Amino acid sequence: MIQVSGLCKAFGEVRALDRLNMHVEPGSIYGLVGPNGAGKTTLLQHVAGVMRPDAGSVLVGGEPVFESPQVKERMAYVPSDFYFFHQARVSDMRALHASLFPRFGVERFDSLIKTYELDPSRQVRSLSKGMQKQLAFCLALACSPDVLLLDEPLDGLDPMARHSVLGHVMEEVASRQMTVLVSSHNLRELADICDHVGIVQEGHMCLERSLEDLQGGFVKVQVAFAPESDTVPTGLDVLHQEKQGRLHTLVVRGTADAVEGLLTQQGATFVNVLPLSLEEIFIYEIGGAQHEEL
Amino acid sequence: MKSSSLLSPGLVKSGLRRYWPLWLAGFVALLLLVVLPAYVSVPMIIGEAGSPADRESALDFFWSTMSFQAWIYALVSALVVALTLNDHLFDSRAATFVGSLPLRRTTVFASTFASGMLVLVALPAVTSLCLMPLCLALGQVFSPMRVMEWFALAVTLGFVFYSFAQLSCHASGTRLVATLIYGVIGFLAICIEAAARLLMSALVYGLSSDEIAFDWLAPGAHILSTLTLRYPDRGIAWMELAPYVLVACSAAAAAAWLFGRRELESAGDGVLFEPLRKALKCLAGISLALLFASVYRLLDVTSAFSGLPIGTGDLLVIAVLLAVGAFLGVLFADMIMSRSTHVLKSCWREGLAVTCVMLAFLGACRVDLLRVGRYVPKSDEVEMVILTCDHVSDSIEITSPEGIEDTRALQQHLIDYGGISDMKTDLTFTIDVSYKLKNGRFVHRSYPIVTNFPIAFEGEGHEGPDSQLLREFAGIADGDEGRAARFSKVLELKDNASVQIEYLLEDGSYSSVSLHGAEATDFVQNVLLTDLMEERAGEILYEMTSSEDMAEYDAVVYVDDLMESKAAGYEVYTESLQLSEGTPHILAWLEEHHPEIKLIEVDYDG
Repeated sequence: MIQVSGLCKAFGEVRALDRLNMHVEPGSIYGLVGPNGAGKTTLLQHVAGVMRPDAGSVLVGGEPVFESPQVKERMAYVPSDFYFFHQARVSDMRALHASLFPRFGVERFDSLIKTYELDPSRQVRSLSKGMQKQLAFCLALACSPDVLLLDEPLDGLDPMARHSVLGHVMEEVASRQMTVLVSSHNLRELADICDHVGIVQEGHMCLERSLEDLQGGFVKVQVAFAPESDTVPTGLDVLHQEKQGRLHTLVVRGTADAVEGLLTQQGATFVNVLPLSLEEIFIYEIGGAQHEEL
Repeated sequence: MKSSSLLSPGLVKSGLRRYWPLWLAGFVALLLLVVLPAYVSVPMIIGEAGSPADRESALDFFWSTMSFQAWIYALVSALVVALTLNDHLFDSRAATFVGSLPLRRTTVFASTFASGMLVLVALPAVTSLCLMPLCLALGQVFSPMRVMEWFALAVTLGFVFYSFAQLSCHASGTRLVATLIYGVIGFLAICIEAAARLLMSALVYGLSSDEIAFDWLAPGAHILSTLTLRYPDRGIAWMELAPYVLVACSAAAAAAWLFGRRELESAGDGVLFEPLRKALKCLAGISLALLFASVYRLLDVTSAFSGLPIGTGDLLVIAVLLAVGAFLGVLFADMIMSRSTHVLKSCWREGLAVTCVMLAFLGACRVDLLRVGRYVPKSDEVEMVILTCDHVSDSIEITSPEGIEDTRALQQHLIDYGGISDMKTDLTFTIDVSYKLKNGRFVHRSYPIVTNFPIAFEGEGHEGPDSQLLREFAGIADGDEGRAARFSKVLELKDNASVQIEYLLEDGSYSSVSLHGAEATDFVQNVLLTDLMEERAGEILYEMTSSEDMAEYDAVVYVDDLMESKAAGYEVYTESLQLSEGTPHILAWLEEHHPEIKLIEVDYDG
């Protein structure tokens, strides 16, 4: 559905995207993760057709998205800080979207804002940040997009609203095979909804895989060895290790069975495989333990 | 809406709807600037006018003022509208939002442009409608056509300035820099327009500009005379609108071109195109220098240089103002664009360079490098000359070779004299020389003469260049052609006309006699005017007005007043007609009818 090839973008001397490639399957929910300044928002804005690529291509449904109203009609983009026209009321934004997006469903929008208890006659600027976010979702979902682009979609939403918003998105995915490209720092929530993940670092796509494959490719294991051979054996692709007494905690690239077998074979007296979260994979994969915000 | 539409009605409506309080404020401004003055002033003008000519003249002045109001309104409102509707150029969030909408950039631009133009057309349109009841109430006196002309002017100026404002907004990413660019573009446009007019004059009409070289440095003074349309006898000069519309279309096209090429993410950046940064600094320097220079007219400093040769004071003041303006312009522009006050180190060289260029420009104007001011047509090229001097004489048409040669000589002397006025001295006469050339072109020049009245007219002890030039003019005006031009008209007296003759008695008191009907007509047409026509009523005009001791001079009437007042249907007034050998008809008439009169003042009440 979304095909990004060799995408480059520079802002002055800063290379925000450097020959980035990405492929998003139709009907999938693709999570985009990466440290601050990695280029996630820039990538999303290219996919949304806001930015003009310096080099490379961004295709949505096989067509270039930049300066293509036909493609953009089938997309909706909810940035982290959605813009509403000054002085606009909720109903004004509805009217604007209805005039620009042919698939915009006014009734659908009305039913969505009813869910979130948003008054159509209220001025948008009088709404709280969370309510504005909800309104942005309502506008985006009412457009019935084939592709939904979300940048930090859950920031500023209370747990109830998060649940509700994600529920609506999942409904659309299930019923219409909508494709979702979502960028977030909240990897726990991303892990709940994504089926594919791409990790962006310094403008590159350094890893792109299905969540299943990703989680199956890393193992967190607690292991202890006999006192005379208390060293981590060679042959393991260790991303991270800690030691407390004689107990080693390792994050290792590979499958659980393979790692467990190798450790046992190397004389481990105790082996315990632990579940590894997306957040941990992200941290250890990009060597980003210093990213404390995670 | 189809994706390929040039206009997005949704975006247009949204823009118009969201900012309605601003549009309302604009309308209120127009009500105060145009509608209210019209309803207050026009009935007053019509009520107070003594004659149709006076009324027309007063209404012309009123519409000229309204044109100026339209100019100011367009200048300000165009910028406000452009800054308001182009959020997506200044706010990165708005840029992202607009960029993600299913619209081409051309559609976004066209829709924004159309929204603004709708406002700039609708408000003057409603204003014009508000003036219509006044037209209906006053009939043809306050013509709806004039209102339509004002509307056309307001819309055209709105279009011009809105295009400039759009261009400025699309060349920058912040409102402050956009305003700076708008100021520079607008200012330079005025200078360029003045230059274009002068060039056109030179090429088409034979250097017919009546501006002296120094006025180039005072574009502020040009604004009123160049950017407000004139109202000639047969209505607005519609063709004058065409170049403005053309310029506006070009600016709009340039803005659209810039929008197509700019990166939306650049919203918030000062200047989007690096080459523009240096150019803008220099242009800001030039603009501020010229603006400062135009302020010299307001400063009462030239009297401080009264000991220096004429024009030196202006030159020094303008040079200082130019230098300061140029340097500050560069400095401020750099501050605005880099959003920092620590710019002196980085831009002092550019400031110095612009200052030097401006001083060189001043020097070029001072020495009349283009030879515009020194141009005198050859005698054999001239078909006719029209000579005028304010305060002294109406237009004098000269066609004889001798008269033309005398006028050329006078013009040459005026050029040598300097042609630059120190505005604060006692009295400034302006001699206008208009040549009609045999090839059909016109050459028009104005020369101010500064004199120290009344010393200049006393003759003895003061034979400065000012006095000599005025005498030279008087010599031409008092020649056969000049006299014929001045005294050719004969008063047509009404049946109920009366003439009041006041006269001085030997004991110093005044008495008077009144003439009525046929007697008044006989006196004015056969006595007074006969003496005037035959050059028996005195020497040159200004001598009559200058002296405390009238007995030194032969008498003369105020011929200017006589002619103008007659046309306007007003009282004709002549003053202090000194009887002498030079007025034989008057003397004979008075001897016959009022032998006691020695010095008279004549009032004719028509």
